[in-house]
This record gives sequence, structure tokens and C-alpha cells, in this order.
Amino acid sequence: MMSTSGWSEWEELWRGDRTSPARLEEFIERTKRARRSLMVLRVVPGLLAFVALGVVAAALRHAGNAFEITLGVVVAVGIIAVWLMDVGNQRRWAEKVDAPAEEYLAMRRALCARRLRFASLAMIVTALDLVFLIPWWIGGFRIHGAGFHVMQLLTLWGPLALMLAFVAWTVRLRRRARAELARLSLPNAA
Amino acid sequence: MSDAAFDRIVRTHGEALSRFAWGYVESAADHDDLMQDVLIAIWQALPRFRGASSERTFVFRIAHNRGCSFVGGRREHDPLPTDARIADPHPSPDEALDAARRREQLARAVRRLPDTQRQAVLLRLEGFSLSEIAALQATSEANVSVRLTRGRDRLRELLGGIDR
Repeated sequence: MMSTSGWSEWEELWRGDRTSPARLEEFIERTKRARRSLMVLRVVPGLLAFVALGVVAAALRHAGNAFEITLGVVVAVGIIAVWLMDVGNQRRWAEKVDAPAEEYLAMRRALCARRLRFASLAMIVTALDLVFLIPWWIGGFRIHGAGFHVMQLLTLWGPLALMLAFVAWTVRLRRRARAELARLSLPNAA
Repeated sequence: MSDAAFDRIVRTHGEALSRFAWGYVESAADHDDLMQDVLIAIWQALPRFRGASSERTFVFRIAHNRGCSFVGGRREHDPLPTDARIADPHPSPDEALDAARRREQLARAVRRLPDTQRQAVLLRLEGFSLSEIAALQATSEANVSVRLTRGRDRLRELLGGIDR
């Protein structure tokens, strides 16, 4: 059984855990690699938004009436709004991280709430995007036939796969935000 | 922010940060992930650091905040008992436990403390003074004393020895 005489013994025991300089260098290198990955990851949402807008623009060229044009414009504005909201949320990730715990936790709660709003908006925009694109895809099938050639990959299967991946990511984000919000509401987190 | 400043911070505080991280996570893989998370947060926050607090305070505030967030993401899947005595998962036939095992027991007990108590206790173990802990926790020294006393009592209870 461990002796529990108090601080001095615990301090000595605790600080006996040493980290070699080589291990610290390893942490530095790992962090540098992670920073580079983060920079790449930050570009991805912008690229996705650009691709989504490109597909909407292509579909708008074939819009048959004012309703379709209006829907296409609403979807395009929605995509931009979702992207901007994501940029804002990413910036907030590191906000207040050096503040006292209560201030930081308040920021995390606000960020979770923003992520939940983001997830809701993203779902609505994705649904509207589908409503807008499905008639265009059906028209494309009728004229060009079904298949997997380059244009169909670029305008149908590719965007569809991206949308599915985006929905899966959004569901995961929402689940994690809810879990964190629940955990931050526990008295232990104060 | 220059890489040199970041590298210097890791070389200066990395060892203590590594120990501090054991106050939040149990496995070596989680420990490395948390260390990386903390170091990235330090790197992102460093341009905002204006010296209003000491560098050590700045670094350990970030470590605690990210530690709590990190644990929050996992606690749901892996609930920990909050009032059970800490049993040694690798009982040894010898009565004398080596330092590493006793340290592991201590870390496991520290992880059972509520967040504010745990932070105060970890900082105390790292040799922070009462006033430094109070500054770091944005509270009074009297409050820190209470947290430390409660934390110590809880640790004694969890470690299962009564010798005072």
C-alpha cells in the first residue's frame, strides 16, 4: 500500500518522472507535422465550398424557370454561409485557451452551441442542394444516359459522394458537440 | 510566431507538461495525443501572449484547459469510477512497489479529482506556490488552500493509507 504522508513525498515521487531531451524533440517534431496537417485541413472546407458552388453554377445554367433559378441562388448563398460559419468556428477553437478555466469553459459552451447551429444550417443547405440538383441530374440521365464517364463523375457521382461525406461529418460534429455540451454542464467541469 | 520561441517553450516546460498530462489521461497513446493537442494550442495562442502572466502560468493554463476538453471527449465512452478506492491493476507479490508503480497510483488518484481540485493539486505537485496557483485559477489564495486541502484529503482516501 502506498504511503500517503503528504505533499513532500508526493512531489518527490511525481517529479521523479523525467522526460528525455530526445523525447521532447520528438514532441516538437510531431507538433510541427500536426501543424502542417492542420494548415492543409483548413484549406479543405474552402475547396469543398468552391466545388459545391461550381456544381450549383453548372446546374443554374440549365435552370428551366424562375423557381429553379431562385432555389439555385438560395443554395449558393447557403453554401457560402455554411463555409463562413465553419471558418468562424475554426478560429474560435483556440480562443480563450489561455484564459482561466471558467472563461475557457464558457467559450467552449458557446462554441458547442455554434457547432450545433452550424450542423443544423449545413443539413438544411444540403437538403436544399439535393432538391435543386436532383432534377438536373435526372435531366442529365435522360439526355446523356447513365454511366461513369468524366462529366458524370464531375457533376453527379463526385458531388453526391462529397455530399454524403459532408453529411456524415456533420452528424459526427453534432454528436460530439452535444456530448461536450453535456459534459460541460456537469458540476465537475466548473 | 517563430518556431524558435515555440521550441524553447517545449524544451523549458515540456517535461513538466508531460507529467501534467498524466493527470488527465491513462494510456500512453492518449498521453501523446493530449501532449500534441496542448502543444498545438500553445503554438496557436503564443502570438497573443503579451506577458500579462508568467510564461509558466500561460503554458499550464492552456494545458489544463485542453486537458479538460480532451477528457470530456472521452469520458462519455470510458466512465471512470469517482468514489472507488484505487486498486493496483498489477498486484505485485512484493510488498514494496517501485517508484514508477507508486507514481502511476498517484496519477490515477489525481485523475479522480474534480477539475479545479485536480488542477490545483497538479500545480502543487509541480512546485507552484499558492499565489501562482491562485493567479492561474483566477481565484483567491484562500480558495486555493481549500481546494488543496480537499484534494489532499481525497488523495489520501483514494490511495488508501491513513497515517496522519
